[in-house]
Amino acid sequence: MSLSDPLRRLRLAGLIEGTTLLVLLLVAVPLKHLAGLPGLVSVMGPVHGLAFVAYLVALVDNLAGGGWRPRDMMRAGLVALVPLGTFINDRWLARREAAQGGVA
Amino acid sequence: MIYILTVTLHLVAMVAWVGTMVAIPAVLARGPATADLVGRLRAPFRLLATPGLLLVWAFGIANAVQVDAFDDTWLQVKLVFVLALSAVHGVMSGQLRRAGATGEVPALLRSLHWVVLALLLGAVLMAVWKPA
Repeated sequence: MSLSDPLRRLRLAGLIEGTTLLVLLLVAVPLKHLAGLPGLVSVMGPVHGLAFVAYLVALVDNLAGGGWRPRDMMRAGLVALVPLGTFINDRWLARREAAQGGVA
Repeated sequence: MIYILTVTLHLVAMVAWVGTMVAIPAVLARGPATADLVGRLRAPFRLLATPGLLLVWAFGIANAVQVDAFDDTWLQVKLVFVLALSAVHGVMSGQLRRAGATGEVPALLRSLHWVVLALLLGAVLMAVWKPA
């Protein structure tokens, strides 16, 4: 299944967003406040912002295509705000992708 | 010089992105839409609007970093409009996909160009006016 599938794009966007969030929270912020090195925060902040926007667009793309229950919509939206959330949600997205059988 | 370049590219990307998001619903707003027409409209959406969206954000962030504008109220308000435009992009993508699959154009898709224009008005107003 290629990136032409919106669900695959959402999974990729989620993994990137989750990774940038972890780098920001676990590396950049401690470096800034504990070591006095704010440089990485200045870089990772905008990078994570961009990743979050990409996840938002991919999410809305999937929701607008139909076939999502309100509960699943809420979960997919809220996980982006929680560290490791998108990684945990990726397991559910993978099952959904498998169930769809690759139909875009 | 770099700032001039990134602002220029930001504006060009914006034209490609928003222009496509206005044109596609405007074309679909009138008359019947065949599956062939929807399919042909999905191509410029994928080739122009989506890269335009990503480049608008990338160059926009680059611009804001260069002039240290993230704390400015006008930019924070503008970001709300641009975030909303980004969400509309996602909606349009999903609705086009659904139209391509079902052969029917949703009423929402036929009117999204007005939403895009309204949000564009807000974003451009903030960028030009720059209220404190």
